[in-house]
Amino acid sequence: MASTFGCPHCGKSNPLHATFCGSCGVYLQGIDASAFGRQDDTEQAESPPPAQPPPPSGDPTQSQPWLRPDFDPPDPPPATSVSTADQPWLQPEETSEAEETPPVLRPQRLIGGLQGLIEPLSIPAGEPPPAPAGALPTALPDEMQRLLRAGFAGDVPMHDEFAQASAPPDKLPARDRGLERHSWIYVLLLAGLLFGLWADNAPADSSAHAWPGVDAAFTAIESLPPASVVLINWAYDPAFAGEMDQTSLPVLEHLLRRELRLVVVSQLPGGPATARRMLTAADTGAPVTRQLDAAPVEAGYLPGGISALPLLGEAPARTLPTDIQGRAVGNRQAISALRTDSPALLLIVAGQAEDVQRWLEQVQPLTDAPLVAVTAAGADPPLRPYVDSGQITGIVSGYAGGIAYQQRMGDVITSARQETRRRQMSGQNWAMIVLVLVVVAGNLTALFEGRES
Amino acid sequence: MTPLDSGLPPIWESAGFVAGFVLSLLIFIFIVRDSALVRGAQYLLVGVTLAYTVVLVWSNVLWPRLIGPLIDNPALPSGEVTAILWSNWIPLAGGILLWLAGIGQMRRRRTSGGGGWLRAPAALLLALLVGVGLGSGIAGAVQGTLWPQVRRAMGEGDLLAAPPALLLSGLLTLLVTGGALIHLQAAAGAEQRLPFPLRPLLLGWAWLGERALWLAAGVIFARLFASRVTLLIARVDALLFDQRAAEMWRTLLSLVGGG
Repeated sequence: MASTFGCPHCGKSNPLHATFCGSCGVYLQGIDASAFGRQDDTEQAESPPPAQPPPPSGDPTQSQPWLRPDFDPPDPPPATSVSTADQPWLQPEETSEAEETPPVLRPQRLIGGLQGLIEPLSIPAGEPPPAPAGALPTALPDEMQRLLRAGFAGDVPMHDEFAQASAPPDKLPARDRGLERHSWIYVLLLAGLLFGLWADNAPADSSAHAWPGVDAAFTAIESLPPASVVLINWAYDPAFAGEMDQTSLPVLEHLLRRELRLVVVSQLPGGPATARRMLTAADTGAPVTRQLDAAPVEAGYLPGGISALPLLGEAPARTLPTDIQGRAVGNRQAISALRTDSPALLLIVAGQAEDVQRWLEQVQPLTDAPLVAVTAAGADPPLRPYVDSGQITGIVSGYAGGIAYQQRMGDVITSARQETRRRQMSGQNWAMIVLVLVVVAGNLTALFEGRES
Repeated sequence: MTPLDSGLPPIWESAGFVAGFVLSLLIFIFIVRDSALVRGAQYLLVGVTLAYTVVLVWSNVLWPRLIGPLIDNPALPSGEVTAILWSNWIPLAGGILLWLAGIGQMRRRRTSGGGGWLRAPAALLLALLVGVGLGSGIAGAVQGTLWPQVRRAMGEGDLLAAPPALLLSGLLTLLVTGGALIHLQAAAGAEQRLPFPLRPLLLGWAWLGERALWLAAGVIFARLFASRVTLLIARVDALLFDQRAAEMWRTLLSLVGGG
């Protein structure tokens, strides 16, 4: 019988009798499931679900029935019927049959930590299957609000999500068409950045426009006493390497030249290997990297997620017993120093703002050490309030931040790196020019089409 | 050689570059059309990552922190038994219990029923894990975000004596934050419950909040998109113009040209 329907708040599929959404936790009792993509496992194949009128545009009482003046909360359901999408052990026996093939919109669970994955779909043979009737919310505002939330969450919506939000159900694009629908936009964008890379026409003396915080980050590292311990959280993996490598490299070079004691830890499986690759790239021949006992301590992978961080803040020496190769690190100089003293500096190298925020909330209050963040450009805006409040001492964000930091060091950059940097800046400039033109053209088209209609 | 060197022969470095090159091209096919090649590359990525994670968890977590200590010292002299019980034996038992319960859940999904007696103790363990995580998260949010931000706002001093720019910034923040909250939570569906004299004011405030919300979304999305374009540029640059890529292209072209 009927098994699932889409959450009106986040779009996640939920059991029909779920009290709360398994993804976002919104209260689901009292909602008309048929208006939100109800899917009947047995009936769907035999007959299409009855057409339901779309909910009134912009009326939040459809998704939040408790706002209605006449809302009468239903009796609490039995404890075993709580939505358990992420807690399979709590699921009752009778629901396991009904939830055999819930539609998956995003990579979940085991592969949820992998960056940049496209939606896991089966490859259909022959003609693409028709879009499931009633599987998508029919109200445009609700769908647009979901896309808005996705944007705020740092999750770039795919083009077909935009298409589904704006197209009538009978004209939905098949999900296996890649970027075909608006391919001209992507072709233009690619052509622009390829031209920029090929032309390599950025001025040789061009400087990057970095947001405030680079100078403060430089000063925080420069003012550390020799042999101070710096606890580094490595929170990016190869998915963000294209941007983060260029951003983090100058900061690592600075740390190694100052001969500080580095303790590198990561909560991402791919983090320790990425950290080792970058430390090797940043090794400028400073004496500190020449002997094992004084070399940066790669404390490896720290499991436990957010629950492990308070212990790391209180007793880092107890939390980090082995390095990336399984060798005990407890007797290394840097770790020994952490038995009695707090680290002199916390350095977060992260592709996403949430990783910096976690350390700000869980580790820094327990150590009182200043914190410097090296982040992707997209992570910079959500972290600005922490910079303003003084919780983040300095921040180096994005490609521009990395270049500005290198210039702040007063380095003569090697010609190969300078050439790469200039070429990529040229590509970035041209891609942005194309993007602005596309946005202007799209808005003008929408404006004129709107007037005609 | 420094302690940071991988120790791998150069041929492996080159092999890694070529593998990355080919897989990048396979993924890029998605720009034209989703296909089995794209999916194959993605599934390879997922499989390799999971396998790597398993090895990493074993070598960095399970062996040095759990299995190894238990083999070395299964039971310490009196006085330390409690410590090893809490730090090793109970985590081991809990892990095995959760693992068996997960396996049982998968089997029940296939065979529709039976063997669910592990669910209750597993649910208790899971509740403990979720509870600790949520507790840490909430405590951290209060001590690391809420309180410092409130303290900073309160520490600005006399608002009326503040510089005009700061005053304007504060008022704008208040206006936009309030408007966005009213728009998201109350205005559209509950305007009838608003007191009449305030209704036009609150609806106008919500109107402003709605526009500010979309403006903020545009700004954040633009920054996010620029970040992703940077990633794309770095990959394309590595494929076409990087020193190793350039050498590879030259070799390929010379092979094609018979030179």
